[in-house]
Amino acid sequence: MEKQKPSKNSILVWRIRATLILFGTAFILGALFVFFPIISSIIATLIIIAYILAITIYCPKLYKHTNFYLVGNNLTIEQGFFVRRKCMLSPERIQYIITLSGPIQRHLGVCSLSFMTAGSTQTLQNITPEDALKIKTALDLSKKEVRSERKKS
Amino acid sequence: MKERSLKKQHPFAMLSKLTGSALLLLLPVIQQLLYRPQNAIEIIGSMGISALYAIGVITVALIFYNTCRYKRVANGIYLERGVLIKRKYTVPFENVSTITVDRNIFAAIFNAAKINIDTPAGFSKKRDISLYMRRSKTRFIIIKMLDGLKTSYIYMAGNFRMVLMSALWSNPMTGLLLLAPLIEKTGNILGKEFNSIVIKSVDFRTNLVSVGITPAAATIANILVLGWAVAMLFQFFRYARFSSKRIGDYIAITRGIGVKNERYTKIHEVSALTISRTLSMAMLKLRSAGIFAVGSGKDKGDKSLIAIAANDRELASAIKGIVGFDTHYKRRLRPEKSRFFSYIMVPLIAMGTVFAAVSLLIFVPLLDDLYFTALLISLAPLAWWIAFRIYAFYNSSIGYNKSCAMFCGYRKLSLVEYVIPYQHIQFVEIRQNLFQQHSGFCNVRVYLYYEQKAIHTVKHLRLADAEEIVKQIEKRIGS
Repeated sequence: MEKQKPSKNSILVWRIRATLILFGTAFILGALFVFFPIISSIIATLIIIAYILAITIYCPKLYKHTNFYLVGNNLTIEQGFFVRRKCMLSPERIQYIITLSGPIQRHLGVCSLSFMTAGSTQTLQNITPEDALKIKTALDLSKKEVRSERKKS
Repeated sequence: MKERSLKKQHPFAMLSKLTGSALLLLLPVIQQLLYRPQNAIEIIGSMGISALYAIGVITVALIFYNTCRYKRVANGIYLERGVLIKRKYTVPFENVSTITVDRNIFAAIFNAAKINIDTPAGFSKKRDISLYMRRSKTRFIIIKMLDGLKTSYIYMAGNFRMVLMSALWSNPMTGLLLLAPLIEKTGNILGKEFNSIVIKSVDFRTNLVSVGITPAAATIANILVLGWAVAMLFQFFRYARFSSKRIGDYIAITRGIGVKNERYTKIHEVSALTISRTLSMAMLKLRSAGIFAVGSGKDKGDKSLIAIAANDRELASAIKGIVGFDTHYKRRLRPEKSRFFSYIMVPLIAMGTVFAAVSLLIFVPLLDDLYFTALLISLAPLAWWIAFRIYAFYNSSIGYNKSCAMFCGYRKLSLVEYVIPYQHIQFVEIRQNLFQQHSGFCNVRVYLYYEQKAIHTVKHLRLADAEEIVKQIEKRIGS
């Protein structure tokens, strides 16, 4: 499998989530403003700057650095902007895979895959259902191949 | 193969969800009681709001019930759940480590039982799959799983052992053995003492206190005894009719009256054997054995026991018959004599502090007599704590044999030995705090392959010796 990217709607999903967080924070800060106007104003300004940076710079950069691909039998996931992580998942180590979709993701036609391994969980966010099916099928086939090779040896 | 349709859980699942939200449903009741409406309009208004609130809680439970569906597929169980965030996944049968079936009295009335499935993945506190089904269906799943397998060993705990274990494991048991007679006697002594003071002084308050001290001490004793009795009954009902069996490749553990629990674990998923005893059990030369596998510890109070309050012969037979682990030491490292004080330091300091406070308060009565009595009484459990730590010092160790590594250390008021096959050890860690770095001693921690946290710690071992033993263990892990 070649290096692939999540759905282009990822950036939109992240921007919508950032906006919802902004609304929630604005609500809380609005309540706090009555008691601490200056501190609330400073925090609000900082949050607005962070929000603008997030939607203009962070989300596109995060999308740019998110990739996934199969190397041999292993699924490799690269993600992260400030802290770049690369994780190789072997099919034998994956206990099962959860397909997650929140309301925003369902509306935009994307989903996330959570790979449950012993002791940890790795998530690949905002991929199309078709890519999700391809990954699951490829991992399933890899698992069967590894099992049959073991039986032969 | 015919495509199966998605099924909902047994309706009891919704009732169980509502039981979990019982506190939320109590809120409108409390609100009604506190509000005290004055006229008919207020009564109707408040009841209407309460009714809407209750309907809301019930609706949420109904939505959660309706959005959870499952079906059996070729290689496992497929599950869909979630309202806002929808989750879909298939748990393959080959990855299932433990299946637990819970049946309580209320579920039995509705012919329901809860089946829990665990894999090495998932969360430390939550199950991978947890579903309510018809009781007959859970029986069918178990029968199918065990089809054709033979039972090779059965261990059944006798009633006397059950009662003994319940008594020994109940927390207020300590109160019964040590505190209750002490409280009664202390109250009597203080009462007499205070009575003699009363005759000499004109302090009316002291007189009242001196009249009250003995009944107060008796009340504490009664509370402790009642607490112990309740804890003991609870333990008894949890472990009554206990049996553990080896059925083919499965270990089957059945226990409980009222709340019946059946657990089926694959033998190769058993990561460790635990052998534990409290000080009171050690005095009676009894020990309990349990297994540690995926899914262990998720039920409150669950110890996954395979033998209860057993003597050495019974325990050895049960371990050999059920798990087959070798528990003999080829090589063993214990704490040195110089580390004795490290083991008893914390309880000794606590006891010293309380003793100093009591001594001071005899001459400078700053506290009420009841608090003073409570302080005095706390010396007894502290003494028990010190005694336990002394016992732990003489029995803690790390070691290994051909197939397993052993780690024996204390945890709270139990001495627990973990016998772990090499293939289940993730790694062994040697840790030194600042003091240990100077003194040349260390703590040894062991991690199982699917756990993020250390499973057990053995403390205060000499660093050089510990490093050598750990090196030998790691060599055997790698081979």
